[in-house]
Amino acid sequence: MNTIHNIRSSHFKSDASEAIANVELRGALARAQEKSNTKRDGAIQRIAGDWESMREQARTIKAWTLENLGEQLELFERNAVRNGIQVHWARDAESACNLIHEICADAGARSVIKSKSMVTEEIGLNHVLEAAGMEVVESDLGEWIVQIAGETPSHIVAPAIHHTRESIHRLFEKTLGRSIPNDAESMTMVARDVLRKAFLRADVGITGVNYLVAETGSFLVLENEGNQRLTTSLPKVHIAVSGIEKIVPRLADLDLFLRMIGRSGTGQVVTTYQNLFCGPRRSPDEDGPRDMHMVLVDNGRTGLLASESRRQTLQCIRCGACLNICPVYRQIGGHAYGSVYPGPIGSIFTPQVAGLHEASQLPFASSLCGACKDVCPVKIDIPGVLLDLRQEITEHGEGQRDQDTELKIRRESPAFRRWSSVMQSPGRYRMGGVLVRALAHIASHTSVFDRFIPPLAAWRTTRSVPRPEGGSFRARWRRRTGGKR
Amino acid sequence: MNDRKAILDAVYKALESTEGSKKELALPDLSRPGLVGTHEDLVGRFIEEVEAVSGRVHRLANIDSAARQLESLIRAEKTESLAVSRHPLARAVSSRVLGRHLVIDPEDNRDAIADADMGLTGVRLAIAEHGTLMLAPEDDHGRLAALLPPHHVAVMAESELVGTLAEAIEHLESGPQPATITFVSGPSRTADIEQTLVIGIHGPAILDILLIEDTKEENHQS
Repeated sequence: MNTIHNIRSSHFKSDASEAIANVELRGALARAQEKSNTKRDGAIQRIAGDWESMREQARTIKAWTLENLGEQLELFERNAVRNGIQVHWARDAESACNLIHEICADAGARSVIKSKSMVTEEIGLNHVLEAAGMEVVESDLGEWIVQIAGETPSHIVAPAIHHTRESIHRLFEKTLGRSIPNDAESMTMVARDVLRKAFLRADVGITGVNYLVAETGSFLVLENEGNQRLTTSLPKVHIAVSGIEKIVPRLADLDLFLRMIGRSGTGQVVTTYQNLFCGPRRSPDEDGPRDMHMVLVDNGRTGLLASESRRQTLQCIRCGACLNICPVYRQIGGHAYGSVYPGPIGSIFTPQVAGLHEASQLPFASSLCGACKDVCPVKIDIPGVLLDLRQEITEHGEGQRDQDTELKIRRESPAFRRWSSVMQSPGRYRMGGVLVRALAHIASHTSVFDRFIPPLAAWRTTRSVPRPEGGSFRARWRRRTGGKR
Repeated sequence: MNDRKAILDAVYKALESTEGSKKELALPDLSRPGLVGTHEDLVGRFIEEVEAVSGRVHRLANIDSAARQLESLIRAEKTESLAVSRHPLARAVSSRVLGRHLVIDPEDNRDAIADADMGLTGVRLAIAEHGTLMLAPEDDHGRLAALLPPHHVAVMAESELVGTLAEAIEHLESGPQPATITFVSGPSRTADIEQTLVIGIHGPAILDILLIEDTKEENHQS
């Protein structure tokens, strides 16, 4: 079954309300967004005129690859196998977890080290390996923080973005049972020491994938910390896990994507390390893994291919720019979305992969301001897909809506039906105008409606309701033209 | 039905049934101009970009001056143990400062390399536009020497410098693919605690590049 691990998007409304009430969280998010957007703008300005054409090229490559996905995946597989990479296919989360568990068990693994990977969060891999008695350690600092906190990442690039330095400090002292200086540098060095030991004892290293290269059968993974280099250098087995959409046709395409993803995601010209893997070590006296596995995961992705507009969801390169710019994400953070993929991209990815019944509120969690579309380096029309999903949920989603969505639709549908009928008839439009002007007039003088419309009362505490003056537009037009049309 | 067949069948079926899109897209030509300017400009750009990501470049006339630079780094950082890869240039430089420092050969077990203060390796090439080193560990068995010690020193000839990432990829396309390529732009970094930049987490905290103008006088094979 296609699932996203630990999904609770059907609680969006209450989770979002709770998040909004959390002042510490909102402060952390606002600071993080300001910082990342300033850095992003600076990095993109350096290549000023080219950015737009680069976006178009990147979009075209991704769209082309999705149109030819079957052939490209088979080509990748052939070349990867020739390079000595063992390629596996997994139709859903359960199948992927079982497969990876088997590889680990065959390697006699007691300890597994991981570098940051969203797809393994999606399939809930850690949970499965731990249930089988293996130690699983996340080695990216942000991922390690959320792991020891017993949380899921709240951002696809910066997993611990919802934490403050103080909360991380409390967490470290509690976990390690000793006192630690309360500054970022000292805490980072403590994490380095703890994790270095985990690297040295790990039997298997697991990474995600940024780009599968079809023509060479190699794959590239990005990082800044060096944890991924360690994950792929020390253990005797390397397992890479990738969604089937993360493919590009040509090695030369990396030149474009590598110059874009760092700038777009973290405002870096390029990430510190970019690791291109083309198979296990080639002679026994070399460093590096003896076995290299590639697990290609579908988990609902093929369901997005048939519709050309929905398919673009799979163009995503997971840079996180849409999260960083989103005014909704800024207020509620990642956890409220109830999916390991939060923010604008998560609001279109999650319901399409995990099913509308799991996440019918997410497509409505947007003001449709379009900032996500403007920053997206591969030009995904996120607002367009959101609207498309809203329509499906409203018109055909019966039985797939959670309680809050059902309530919302039941409340809003009659109002929109009435609005639609008013807008279609000049007579009703005129009557409607008269009614609204009369009500606004009363509202501007008295607080009589506050009782029936609680938000109005709150709104009125610092504002006054404007009073309509001078009649309707039609009436004023008639006066002006003396009745002529 | 196995998963491979299930996935590929689903992919082909979904794309076949798509209306309107008859694969009209073409892949764009990504070729772009190289960096303009003289060799000096190229070197200057490289140094500027490495420094922008907190690395250091030492421009040196020959192997002897590179060895002297290495000695002064060893003194400055109080280095006691040095892991040296099999790269000929790394060996040529290190052989001139040997004796006074414990040298760990990368064939030694990894714990010894992990305990080393400094790792010395060569590079496959370097990219000026991003201040990037391209390491191909199988060239010189330097994978762990460039990774485990807190201080990485890379030695390279100026002739190993190319302008753009595109040129580096062209180089890769022109020969057999190494098992692993690592592009390194600066020392390891993280900003996972309140977006505060901390240099040096899992990978090296210090990156020094010994950029040697003339490496011809390799008169020794120690």
